[in-house]
Amino acid sequence: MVAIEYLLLIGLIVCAIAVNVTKHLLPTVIISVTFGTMLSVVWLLLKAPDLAITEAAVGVGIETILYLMTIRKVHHFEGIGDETE
Amino acid sequence: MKAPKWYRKLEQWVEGDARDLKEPKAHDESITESTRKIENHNGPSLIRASRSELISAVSRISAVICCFVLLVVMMFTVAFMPTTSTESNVTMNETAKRYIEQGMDEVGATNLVANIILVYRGFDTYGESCVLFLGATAVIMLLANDRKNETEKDRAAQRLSDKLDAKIPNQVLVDVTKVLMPVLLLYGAYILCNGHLSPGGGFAGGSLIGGAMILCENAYGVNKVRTFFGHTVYHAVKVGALVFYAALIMYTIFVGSNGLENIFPKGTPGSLLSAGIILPINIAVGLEVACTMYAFYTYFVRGEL
Repeated sequence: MVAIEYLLLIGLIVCAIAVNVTKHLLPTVIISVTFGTMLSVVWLLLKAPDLAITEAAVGVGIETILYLMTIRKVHHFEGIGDETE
Repeated sequence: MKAPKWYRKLEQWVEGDARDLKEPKAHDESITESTRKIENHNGPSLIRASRSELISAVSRISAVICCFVLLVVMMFTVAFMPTTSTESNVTMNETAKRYIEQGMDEVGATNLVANIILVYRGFDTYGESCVLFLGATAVIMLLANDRKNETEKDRAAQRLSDKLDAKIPNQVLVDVTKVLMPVLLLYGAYILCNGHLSPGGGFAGGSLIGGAMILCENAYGVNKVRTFFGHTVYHAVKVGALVFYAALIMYTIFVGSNGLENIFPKGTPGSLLSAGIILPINIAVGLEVACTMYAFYTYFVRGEL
């Protein structure tokens, strides 16, 4: 169990650095989702199930949707909204 | 000063395509050059450096210095923070011990976290709910459709986006939603109502219900959701939940500070109808959070509920 915890903590650090280094928006969102998932498991292992549930619902679910919607709104994805010009 | 090869490779891999790679690189080169000029402090070369380069170099260096100063100040402050759970610091130990030992008898919930965040620290949690309310209000102010100022291009883009959404029926999404949405709603309601018995509570359950509504909106379109969750229902539920929460927490604070009898029964710890105000507060917070999440989503997508 301790090994899993250390693995997850190392993964958290790697993800946190990768989010900053990545320049494209969609991979950044996916990496931050990975970060949230691992963080919620870490909360569970640290015996904070309240935080784990909230992190899984907000940090992974809602946050991702909002990021994707914002990316779509600023027309980063090609092929959506560009045909009107 | 050239970056090592492995770093450039990493950068290329991260950037994906060479299109974005060229411009920032040239910029960086000029910055480092001007920085070197300042560091060498050669008079003529300093004058030759253009004004904008100088300003940007100075601002970069000062930003780094500011960061380091802040870092040192914060580290220094951390060293002076009071330590918890030691013999010398009795006051902190007393609060935690009281919460753990007498929390269940005083409030009546078996989930100690719910005891602390909703009753002992109920005013703070009320502030958090107000922050959510303000966040949703700010999103409405920024992103709501402005009928007077929108151009024909905006309307056309919105129509096209709606048409694209309606044109491509995503059968996988619809089928998954059919299975997942009832489970999500039920689980969210369970977490809401069991907040005083098991981990969870208002925020977690509310965001689950909000997520289920977002899923429904994605699969079946906004008109289906509007039949049961329109503008009026949104405002009524949101404001009603916040006002209800405010009334409950004010009543609890008033009664508690004056030593009066609380009319909400504590019940037997462990049963569903127990723990006084925690159950209604959890439901109010959950409704508030669900409304906020769904409102965030719809205002981001189309600027109206």
